Amino acid sequence: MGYVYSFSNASWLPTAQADTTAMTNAKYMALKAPATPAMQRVTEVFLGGENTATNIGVMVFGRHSTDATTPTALAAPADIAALNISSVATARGTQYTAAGTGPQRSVSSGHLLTLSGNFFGAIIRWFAAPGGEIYYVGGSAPNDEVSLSGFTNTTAPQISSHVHFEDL
Amino acid sequence: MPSLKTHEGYLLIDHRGSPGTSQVPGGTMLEAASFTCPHCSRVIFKNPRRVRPRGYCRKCDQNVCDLPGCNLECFPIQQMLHLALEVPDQPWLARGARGEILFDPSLIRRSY
Repeated sequence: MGYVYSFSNASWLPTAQADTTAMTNAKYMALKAPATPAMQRVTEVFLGGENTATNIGVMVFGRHSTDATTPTALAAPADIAALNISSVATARGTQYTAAGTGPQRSVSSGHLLTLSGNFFGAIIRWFAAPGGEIYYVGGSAPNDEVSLSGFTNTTAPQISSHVHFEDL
Repeated sequence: MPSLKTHEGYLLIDHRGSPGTSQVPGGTMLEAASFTCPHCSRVIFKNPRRVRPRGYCRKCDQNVCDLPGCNLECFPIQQMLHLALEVPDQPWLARGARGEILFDPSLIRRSY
């Protein structure tokens, strides 16, 4: 078992991000694998709705067709936490919510996981069976980055979320 | 004997404290099995009311998604991961809109 981490973000406001268009800063949670040879995998995605009125949204998790340029260092309320005692304190790779130019979600491989709900109180959780994780490897797009972001009809519900990933 | 259910993940949409949606109404929750297509990595939530058979790959011994490309040929994602490490800069992990591969298949023969 590799090093396991939780990439979390508290009380953020995702909005609809179109495919193959640079995503807006602070409207996504992206993970980039370290330079090749390296492999990481996503084991769990969690969304907790905190909106104070009905707000139905669609969140998608998938690959990028174009990587971000110059990802910005992660800052509060986003955070990385090690989930097992053997994990090194600093996760390899890059986890970011903002960049000089945002990443672009792939049309055909950018929707590996679609989660919708009413974020006025919804709790949404997906976790993979062993072997069913979403992998990404170091190198270049579309292999090396994945993200969680809003899709059509997502109008800034307040949510907190985490993505568990494993460095292999 | 191995079971296809060993490949199942889990989805929870809990609207017990929410007005809900038309699919998962307020006051209810949905728990569903999921599986990850071994060819394209899409996560499929299993509809318990589905009657038509699911695609199945005999090489992977797993269900596959409904995309034609995933039902036509076997390019398992686990093999693609190793190729991505060996020969970067090819779209090993991406698939087209119909599940078709986007990389040059001759690279597999050259690699192995």
